Order: sequence, then C-alpha cells, then structure tokens
Amino acid sequence: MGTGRGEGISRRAGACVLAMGLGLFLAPARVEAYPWMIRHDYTGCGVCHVDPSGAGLLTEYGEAQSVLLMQMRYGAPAQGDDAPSYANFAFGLLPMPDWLLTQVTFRGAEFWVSDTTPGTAGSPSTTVSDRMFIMMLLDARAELKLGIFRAAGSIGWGTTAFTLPAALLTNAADTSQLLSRDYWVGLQLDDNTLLRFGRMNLPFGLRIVEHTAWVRANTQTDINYSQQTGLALAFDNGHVRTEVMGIVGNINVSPDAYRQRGFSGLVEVPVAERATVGFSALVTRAEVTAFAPSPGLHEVYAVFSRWAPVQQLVLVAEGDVFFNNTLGTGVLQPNAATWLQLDYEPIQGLHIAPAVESLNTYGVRGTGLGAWLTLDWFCLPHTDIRLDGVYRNQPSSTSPASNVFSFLVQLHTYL
Amino acid sequence: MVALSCALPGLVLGAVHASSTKVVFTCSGPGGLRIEGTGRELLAEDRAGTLVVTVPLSSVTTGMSLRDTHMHEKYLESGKYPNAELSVPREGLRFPADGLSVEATAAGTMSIHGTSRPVSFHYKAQRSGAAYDVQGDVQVNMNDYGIATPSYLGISVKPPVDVAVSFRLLDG
Repeated sequence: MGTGRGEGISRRAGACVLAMGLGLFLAPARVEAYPWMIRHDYTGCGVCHVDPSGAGLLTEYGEAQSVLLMQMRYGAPAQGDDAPSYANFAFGLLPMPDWLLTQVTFRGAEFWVSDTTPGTAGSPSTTVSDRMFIMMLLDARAELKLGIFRAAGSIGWGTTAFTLPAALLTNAADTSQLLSRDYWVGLQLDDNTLLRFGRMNLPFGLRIVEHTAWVRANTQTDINYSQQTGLALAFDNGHVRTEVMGIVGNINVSPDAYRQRGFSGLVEVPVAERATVGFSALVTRAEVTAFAPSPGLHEVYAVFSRWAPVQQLVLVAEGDVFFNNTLGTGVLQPNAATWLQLDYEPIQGLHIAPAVESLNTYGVRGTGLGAWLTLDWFCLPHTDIRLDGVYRNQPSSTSPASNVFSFLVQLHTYL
Repeated sequence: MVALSCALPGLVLGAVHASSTKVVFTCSGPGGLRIEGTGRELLAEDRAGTLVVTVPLSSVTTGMSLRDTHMHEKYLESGKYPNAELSVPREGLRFPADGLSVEATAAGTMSIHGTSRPVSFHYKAQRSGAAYDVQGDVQVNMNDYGIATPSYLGISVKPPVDVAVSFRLLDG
C-alpha cells in the first residue's frame, strides 16, 4: 500500500481504461440489487435501500423485508408487531440509533473458467482454464440521517485490478486496495425527493447484481466499479421513478483527461399491475478514452422492463445501444447489448434464474451470445448461497469466436 | 357504484357474481412505496331504498402476512369492525339501458372502523341484458375514520387510500 503518487496514478488510470474497455470479467455479483422485488409490488427501490435507485445499504425497513420476504421459511411466518430482531444490524446484537444505519457485507466465490478458441488453418484450437477464489466484496457501509440531512458512504477492500476505479489506496501490485465505491451527502427534500452530491452508482437501466452482464459492464454502468462523482436528483412517488445525475467524473481517476463528464438518468413508470417500463440515457465526454488518445463521447440509451405475471415469476429485460464517438474523426462506433432474465421463485428463498444476453460490438462480425443459469438460495438470515453457470460465445475482430464457460459458487452474507 | 339495476323502478336487486368481484385498495408512502390490498368478497343489498355495498375486511390481503396482521389487528381492527360499507340512496344513481353504459359521480355514506362519513364516488356501469358490470372508485382518508396512520420501521404510509371495486350484478 502507498505507492509513489505519479506511478500509482498512471497505473490506476491505465487499469481503469483497461477495465472500462474490456468489461469482460465473468464474475457476478457484487451487491444486492434485486429488480425482481416487483413480485411483491415494490416497483421503487428507496423504501428498502438508502440509494434511491437501489443496491447497497439497506434501510431498517429493507432489513426487515430481507427476512420476511426473501429468506427461506422453515416454520410459521413471523407474528407480532415487528420483524425478528435478527433482521437488524449484527443480527440485532448491536442496536443502532434511529439516525444511523450500518452494514458489513461480504461476497466471495470459487470461480472456474474455461476459454476455448477454435483453431484455424495453421493454428490449433486452444483452451485456457483457471480456477481461483475471488473476494468480490468486503464493504462496510453506513448512513447518517439527521432531519432532512443525509450522508452515506462505504469503505471496503479490493483485490483485483477491476476495482481500481474505486480505489483510494492500493499496493504496488494492485492486489490490496482500500476502496470507497460510494460516499455522498444529501438533502431529503420531501418524502419522494432526494438530492445528493458525491460518488454514486450511475442511475441507468436495470440495477442488477449481475454486474458483468454485457448491458452493465460494456456500457460502464455497473455497480461494481462504474460509480462517478456528481449531483443527483431522485424522485419516486409510486407513479414515476426517476433519477438524473450530472457527472463531473470519477475523481479517483487521474489525470483529469480520463474523467468522463456528462449526465446519466433513468425514468421508470408502472404500466400495469406489477409491470414497469423504463428508459435510460447516459452521455459523457472525456479528453482521453479507452478507444483513442483524443476526446471522445460515450453515449448509451436503454429501454428496460420488469414484469411479474404471477408472484413466483418475474421477467426483466433490457436493450441498450451505445456509441463511442472519437470526436473530430467522424468515426462513430455503434454497439448493442441485450439482457433477458427470468426469475422463478417456486418457494420463498429459492430462485432459479435463467438469462440470455447478446452483444454486438463495433468492428466485430457476428453477435456475441451468452446464457446464464443461476440458482440462488437465501438459506439463512442475511445470507444466500448462489451458483452461476455462464456460457458465452463471443466473436472477436482478430480471432474466431471464443467459447467461454464459467462457474461460480458464491457465499454472500452481511451483518 | 352499486346495484344500478335498483334505480330502475320495479327492478329487484340481484346477486353479485362472485368470480368477477374484485376489491382493491391502494395507498402510498415515501420513496415510491405503494401498498395494494385485494379482496374477492363483496355483498350488495337493498335496504329500504338504500343500496348498501359491504366488503368484509378480513377478506382483504396485501400479499404479506405480517403486514396483513398489522392492518387487521392494529389499524382496521377488523375483529371489532368487520365490514366497510358504502350506502347510496337509489335516487342518487343513474342506470344504463340494455346494451349501454353510464358513467357518473354520486354521493353516499362510507362506514369504516365504526365511523360514517359522506363521500363522493365515481362509477361506471355497463348493462348487458340482466347483467351489470360495475366499476367504482373512491378515495378516503383513513384518519377521518379514526384509523391511525400506519407506520413500520420508520416508514409511514400516507392517510389517503384509493379504493376501487368491480363486480357483476345480476338482475333478479
């Protein structure tokens, strides 16, 4: 920890660009963000999460719902006036005052990956396999709430280069990082409106835990490391949910030329019982991009939808188009990505969630296709065990399409 | 909102067709919280020129057992006040001819939680032979009926509650 500043900055900036440009890391998932809560009539996010657009630190109400609605039941439903005390921070052993919310979250996974590239004339097919443990998430989070004033933030530990955009400090090998994915101050203007300034998740599209899905990673709108600094206004009255953020850049990234400035926003409206449709846009400009050492414009537009035809079944879908425009060259690089996931919860606490995705990348012939199969078991209070199998067939501009299969066994728990 | 057939002189109030009955209440809270309760039981009857629609409150649920327990025991006190009732004088209602529909606003008296208050409600009815498909909606403020504002773990819902009903009434 604690490198020379210039060296650290340049390495961090390079790694950030690499991560933003590739976005191919196949390890879901970072935090809890469950759009399928629409099955319980929750179209909004701010009731259960401190972040008005979802994910991360839970409110006291959200902690209760995590036990009442998400955890597998092994007996009679909870009775009485309150949720079980173990729903609270530290399983209720350390009571917090009303004005303070706290949480410590861990997610780790054993990860297997196999990447096969077919052979061509003159070169045989190659298969690269690996197995590793990934410490995906180790964050402590808190929110202070005094009247209309709110302040929140997280501090965590990272071990891969992919989280460098959120790193405050790192060692020479980037294998030990002190992270802060988000920190902000805000004013609760009324029951439905929150104004925030600080480092925050980008309000964009479906806020899903599968942060490596192409619709999240390739658009740089995931909740693992794509947070930006800016001013955000969120509003949700049950009839419309929206958040718009003016982005001044990721101040963890230096030099300034790499920082993206612009805006990101979403609007989502209920269109039927337990059904919503939303639209998102993100436009940023940076003086240096992952694609060229010259000014570039990054644009992403998305439509997304959530629908629970019956309580056990939720469909979430998103379609994105995104453009990387190197200014002054006349080169506009169009791309597209889609995501369709079905979440089936036959009994409370057990989720079977197949998903398919696609990716069209500028300069690459053919469409990348991915298929996910997830089994998520909310087996204990504050705890779920998750299995993910992910297959991706991804064309390349320089070699035949690769076939990547990855498998993860995750443990996610929080105090 | 109810039993529009009764507004026709000589018609007798019919039975509510159970399979087409739906009672929905919706209330909201901070951060986009939206709570919807639904029920499938409704009784319509003629009481000396006044049409009375009765909803057994115990039949209304919100999809979450603990929330239902709070709603019935702590706020509605459904054991003590088992029904919500809307009473409407016949002459205050308009009725459709066969094959037509009517949409209007009318005045009635709502009784909830042992308190009765005048309300104005909106209704739409479509007649097909002896059947009337009725839809109605009304907003009530729970505080007006002596019901405390529900609050749970720092989240309080707003006192106004939107109520919507739909049912099929059969003449005779």
